[in-house]
Amino acid sequence: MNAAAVVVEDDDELRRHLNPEYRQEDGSYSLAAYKTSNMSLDLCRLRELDVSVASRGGKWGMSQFLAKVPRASGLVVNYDPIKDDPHDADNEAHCLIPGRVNNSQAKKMREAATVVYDPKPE
Amino acid sequence: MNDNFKGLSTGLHVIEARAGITRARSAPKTAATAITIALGIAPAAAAAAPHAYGIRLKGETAQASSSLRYAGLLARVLEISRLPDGWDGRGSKRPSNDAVLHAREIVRRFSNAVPDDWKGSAPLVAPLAPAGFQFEWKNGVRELYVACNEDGTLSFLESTPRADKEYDADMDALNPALKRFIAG
Repeated sequence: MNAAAVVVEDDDELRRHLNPEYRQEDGSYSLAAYKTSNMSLDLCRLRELDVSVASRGGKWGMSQFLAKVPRASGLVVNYDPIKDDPHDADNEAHCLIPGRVNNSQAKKMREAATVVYDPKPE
Repeated sequence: MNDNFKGLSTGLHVIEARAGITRARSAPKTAATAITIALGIAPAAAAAAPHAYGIRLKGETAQASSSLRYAGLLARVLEISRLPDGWDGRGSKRPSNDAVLHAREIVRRFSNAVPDDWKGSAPLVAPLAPAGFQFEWKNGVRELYVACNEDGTLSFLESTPRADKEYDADMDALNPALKRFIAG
């Protein structure tokens, strides 16, 4: 797919993986899940949930929120497909929030996010 | 068993499990010694400078509950510090030494700052990609977030219904922030 042809709209849903290390004993997920540097996301309309889940081995949670949420707090959301990368599998739905996310921005994303896949901890 | 460690033996099983520690059934061990091992602290070092590790001695007035809270938090820090490179995918690394030191110091200061009869809960502790720690406290409507970043810096967020206050600072800012948070 031509990267230039894909524009991430404000109302596009983005999917964030939730590492099991972020899952707290009360079942909530830490702010840290949204506070990484150079955050990777999937553009939902280009990737089904089960494909995202399978890409993380089925053991990681998934949440979704609208692209306008990080943008409203000053972050940039770029379409950033992965192809022929020696370190990562191809992912035409990949998006990137470049730079470091601060606590406030992460909090807004967590508040807006809906957990759509939440595997039980082992 | 030392009175100051009453109740720790039951909590210790949880701590050891979270830290991935197993021990021989037959190994006789005092609770205090077991805790130092569970936390990855050499018993000799803990004996030489117990307060540096937040270990309270016989005759001190600490409640077992606060010691348990402290030990549990340190065990979680230890658990996170053992994550491998790549734990959160490409670019993530095991926590940096600076971040581990800061995380331990945050646990120590929180343990010292909180009254023994405080009803609030202990902070949630999570790894922070690429190589740090995240602490999250909630006390009613007041929230406090502290990130130990991989480069040794700290990022704070004090949140109330009226406003969020975000800032970067050094460890000196922690005690005032904890004081405001605990006061509610």
